[in-house]
Amino acid sequence: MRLILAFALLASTVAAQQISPPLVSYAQTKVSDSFEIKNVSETAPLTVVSLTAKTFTIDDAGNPAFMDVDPAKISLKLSEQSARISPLGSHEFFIEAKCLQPGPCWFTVNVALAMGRTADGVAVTVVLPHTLYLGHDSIKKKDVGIKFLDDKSFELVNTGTGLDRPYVEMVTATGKRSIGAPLLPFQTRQFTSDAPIQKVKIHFAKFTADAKP
Amino acid sequence: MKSSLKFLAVLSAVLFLAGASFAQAPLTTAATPITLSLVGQETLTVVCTPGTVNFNSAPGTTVPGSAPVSCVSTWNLNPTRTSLTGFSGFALATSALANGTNLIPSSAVSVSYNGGATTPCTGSLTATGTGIGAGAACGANISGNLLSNNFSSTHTDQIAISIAEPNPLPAGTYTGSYLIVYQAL
Repeated sequence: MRLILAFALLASTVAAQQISPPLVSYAQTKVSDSFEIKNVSETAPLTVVSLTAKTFTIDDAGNPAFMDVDPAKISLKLSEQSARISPLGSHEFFIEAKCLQPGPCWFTVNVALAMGRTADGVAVTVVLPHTLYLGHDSIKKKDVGIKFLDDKSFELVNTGTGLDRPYVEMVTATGKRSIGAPLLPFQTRQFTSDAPIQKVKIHFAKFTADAKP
Repeated sequence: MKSSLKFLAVLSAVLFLAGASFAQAPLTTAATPITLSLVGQETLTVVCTPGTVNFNSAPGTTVPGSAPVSCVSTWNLNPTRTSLTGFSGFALATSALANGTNLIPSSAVSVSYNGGATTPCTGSLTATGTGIGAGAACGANISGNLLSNNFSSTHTDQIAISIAEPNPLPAGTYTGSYLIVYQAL
């Protein structure tokens, strides 16, 4: 008997997929958006199996949890659900999206890409994201708080209804570490450094906040 | 007559000098700034090889795959981009592999990311949209957030897969589909 866990496709063909852009943000809450899928393989055709939209929450550590889009909160229209892309070809997909409730909204369109059939008849599916944030750059400085938990970690708190993806700089004796993180409405994010933090500087779209332990 | 000649001489001199002056005076328009804009394209590219991983059957033992899967992810993103994380798993926890009638659950499959500890594929991402089913995720993620001080870079993950083969295992060719998902937030 044989156990075969089948992946990409025929052994001589390498599957490669590209999405552009994988992430986009808008200040508006009603947008017409698009993204491109490019088949960077020279020999293998690419089949877009499906497009599915999911919204998400993020825990304090930055781990996402995805869920179905609530049609009462987000209006979403996709131009098409599937496509076939020839080697070295590309295809553009269009999205009409609108936040139906006051304030920002966000979701990910997961693009499932099948690379064809293997000799055993199993297709590989690679999923690439196109994430949208609507109503971005809306956090107010008065709604932002920075609280140190100890000398190596701190919390970034959003007490308001705004949304942003700040760029966080942590300065330590050994250097500087930079990381970005989405900060959703009423959300708290924790950041940890390997070395004691001397200073943090957080760059929001419209202002900068900094703090020291 | 003399005055006319004088007048002509003076006039000629004036015109000569004025002409010379006019010829040397540059005509310069005000500088008009032209704004140049080039928007670099943001991209995410994923290449995973090999295409097939085989297992030599040995019922009742943990059998390793024939080769680790190498996934090369390449990205070019704005510095404000936040996180890029890879996940792997199966669509259904009850059926990671099947021969048409008999199923091998995802709990029998384990992965090791980049030489790390072996993780059974029993996790839940609460993310049905990614295609990885509840109870069928292989660990919380592949190698954490790939974006840290590097918004234009490439990263390679080695994924070693092994299967705790049931004993007895009904005869047949078991096949499955392993999902590799990347999320950008």
